[in-house]
Amino acid sequence: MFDGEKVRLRGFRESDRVAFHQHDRDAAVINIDGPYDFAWGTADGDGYLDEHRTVSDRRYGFVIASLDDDRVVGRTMLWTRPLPHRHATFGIYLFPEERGRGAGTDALQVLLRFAFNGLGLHRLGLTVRADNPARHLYERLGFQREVVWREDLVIDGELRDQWVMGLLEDEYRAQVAS
Amino acid sequence: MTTDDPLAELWTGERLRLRPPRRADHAALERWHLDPRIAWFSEAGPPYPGLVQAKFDDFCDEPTGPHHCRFVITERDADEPIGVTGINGYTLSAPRGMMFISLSADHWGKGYGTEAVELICRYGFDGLGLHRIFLGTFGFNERAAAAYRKVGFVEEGRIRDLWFRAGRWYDDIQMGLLRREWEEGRSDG
Repeated sequence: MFDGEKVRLRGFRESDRVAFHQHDRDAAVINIDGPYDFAWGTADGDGYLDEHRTVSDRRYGFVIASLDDDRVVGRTMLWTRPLPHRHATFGIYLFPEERGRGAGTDALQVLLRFAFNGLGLHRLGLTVRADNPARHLYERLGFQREVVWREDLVIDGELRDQWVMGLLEDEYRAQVAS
Repeated sequence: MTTDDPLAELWTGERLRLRPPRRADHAALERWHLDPRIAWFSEAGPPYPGLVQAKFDDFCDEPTGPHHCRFVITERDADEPIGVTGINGYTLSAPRGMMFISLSADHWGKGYGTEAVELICRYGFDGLGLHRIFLGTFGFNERAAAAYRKVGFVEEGRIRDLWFRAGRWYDDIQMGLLRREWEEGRSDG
């Protein structure tokens, strides 16, 4: 369930912490933990990692690790809403030097499989800044742009749009079948 | 506006007024939220009779904080609550918030919804200094969407199948209003 072609999703270990510390200046720029944290980044230390240490049925946090050598390449987290809506949103963060080699696509495919086949979700959603190139990855995996939240965030003194994107279970299954 | 008090203008309209919720409002809020005409449009969680009780405990106990504000809507010269409204999720670095509103079904059809939306937007823009106010409403709630449009909200999209209710899926209509759009609407009269 959790292994892809290149990476696997696994639980967080204390020994992973140092890999995230080495990237926390970048994590401050593209933070997966939501708009409220943009201004702070990791200025509060590595508290954001504590969310990855514990799993509940509301929140599933994973470290993305390389299948070859278990090298940490990023992290991802799924936040679910309670029944009956069968819905979750997620964030994903890949270290800059690990981008562009298919690790993100692979990790996301594993996450989608877990979301739709493991948790049985009906819809998986995300928000992404309109200027974040990661949106191309989401589009490639079948996510549709559903909403443009105009001027939703202030980044470096400028107002930026955010997109809401979504993928429904039928669309996911059609795509896996083809 | 007929008051000379610039602060009171933030929560006083032509026919309606916003005031803080109190514990004593609880029974009234619960009563009209259990009204089936309202429940269909308001309760987003798993349906269960009586669920609104916990919701209004919280609503009355924490009327305001750094990231949210909550009001009871009354008629201008009365004290009895006829609705609730508020804004959630704003921060210093993200000065935009999500508004909500619910109006007792006994008071529908009088334009009160539109006036209450105008009041909470005025509070958000002029009181809180927000840059943007947005909201989500059930795809089947055309009455609400019309009131929001009247105030100037623009439909920004629809989240597909966000809600499962009574056996089927419904979209969520997402609407937003920017401060400059709000101000333009004011100057047009």
